[in-house]
Amino acid sequence: MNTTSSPASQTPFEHEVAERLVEALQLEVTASEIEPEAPLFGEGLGLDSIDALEISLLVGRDYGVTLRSDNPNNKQIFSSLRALCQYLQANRSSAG
Amino acid sequence: MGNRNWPDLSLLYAPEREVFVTSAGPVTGHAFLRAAHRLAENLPDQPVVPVCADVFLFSLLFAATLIKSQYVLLSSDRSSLRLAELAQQHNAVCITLARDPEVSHLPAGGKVLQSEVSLSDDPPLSGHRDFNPVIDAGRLVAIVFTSGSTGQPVGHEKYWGGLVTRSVTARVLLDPEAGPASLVGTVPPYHMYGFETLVLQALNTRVKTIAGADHYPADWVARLEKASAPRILVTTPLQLRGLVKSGLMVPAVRRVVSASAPLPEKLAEEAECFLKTEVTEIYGSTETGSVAIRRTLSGPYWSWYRDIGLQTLADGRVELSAPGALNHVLADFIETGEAGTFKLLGRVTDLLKLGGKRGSLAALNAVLNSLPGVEDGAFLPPDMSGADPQARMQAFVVAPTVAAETLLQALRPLIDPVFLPRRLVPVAALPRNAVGKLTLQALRV
Repeated sequence: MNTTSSPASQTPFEHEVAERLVEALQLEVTASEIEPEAPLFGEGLGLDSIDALEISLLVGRDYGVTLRSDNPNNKQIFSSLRALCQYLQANRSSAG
Repeated sequence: MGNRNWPDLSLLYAPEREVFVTSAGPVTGHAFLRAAHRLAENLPDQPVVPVCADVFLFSLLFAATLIKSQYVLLSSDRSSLRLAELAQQHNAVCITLARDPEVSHLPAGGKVLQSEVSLSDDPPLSGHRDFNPVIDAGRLVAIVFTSGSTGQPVGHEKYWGGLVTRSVTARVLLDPEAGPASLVGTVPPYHMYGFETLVLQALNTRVKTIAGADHYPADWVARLEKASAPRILVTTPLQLRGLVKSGLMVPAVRRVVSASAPLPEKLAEEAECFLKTEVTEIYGSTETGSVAIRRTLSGPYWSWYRDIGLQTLADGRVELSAPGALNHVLADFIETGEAGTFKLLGRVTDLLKLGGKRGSLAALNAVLNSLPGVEDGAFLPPDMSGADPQARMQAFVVAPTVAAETLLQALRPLIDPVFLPRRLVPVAALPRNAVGKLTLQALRV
């Protein structure tokens, strides 16, 4: 867990989103330390409802993606950094 | 409590009106009462710990509990551990309703009940004498728990007559327009603030609540769009900031009501500008409920609600009395102004408030120090002035043999997520003064 080297598995886009998450959520890890496949909420980084609000602001501002609580895919979207990034790439607005 | 003039003490005020709007559509008082009676038939004869985040489902369960002549136990700490403990200590049962988002963290031993609401506006169940029962003013209907200063949660008993009276008093201030308002809340119903506004205003006054259990600005906008004007947004500084920052198109809002933490003036100004409306704050506590209101930008003076009595104690603190409620000594020092107004001077104690949750520093420190391998530890709360609504908790710990991550894992099931330290800093020793007291000043360096 304490590795400081960038996991080879993070794509450039995942790294960019990870950096923004670390900044917006005041996380005490570096972007490179976020495992792409680890759960974002509950275990893993242990994000809570305040974080959920911050993430919604971040993805709205930077990627033009609007999060909604009634989206049946939310569990999947927040299951990991990778899943979040895949959702953002599939749904980002061209203006984003 | 029997010999004063109470307002209408029926379970539901004017049941012919719309009381809630759900994702399925508007729910009239009659439909609500029918569903509550059906639910009551399946309730055990015990107090209930509602494990519901959805305002409508929560209200239905609350009404069913009252029909059953029982009461609810409300905890703002949503850890399964705390909910289970509360149920056990009060011989109560944790209940959630199918479809509620909290279904997933119902503690072991809890029950999931079905709730079917027929939205058709059929007449009341014929032959049902107590379809909309009048509840005794002196009946205990809820115990609302907060963390006490010693760390043990303290229950505050709420009686029906007092709650209804306060709802009626508050309505005039929250919703002074000619026609009834729609409330859209971003706060949960099990917290005193949400309970009083989103649940009790809907049950006891002409106001209706647009129900939901959601997290995001886009959700709140969607509910505002479903609401008929005048719309009142019931929120907190944290969430108001989120809505303003989202930049979303928001339907006309008649008034924003904020509570649970001080609202920074700058944010109030931004919100008034963004939403083109007035932003008001409510002053209150779990013990007293809402007792005063002010428009944030109109200056530091708050106006007391009607019928609030005040007595200054020898030590300068103020004891407050309200009809049908127990007297309560305020946690803030105040300075009385003209004509029923006052100014806040500062907190008497250092209770924590984060993300709308209240906690006791002593309790959190006790939990931290109970972990295996922890020799000494202390939480450092963020600046509580409200300047930074999304500020997070930190903790310092002397635990030479255990990794910080291991300690965080151990803390997770024991405390509410909002109080989990965002940063857990291992140190060799804590800066304690001569009497062993920790100085926050020293930790902030």
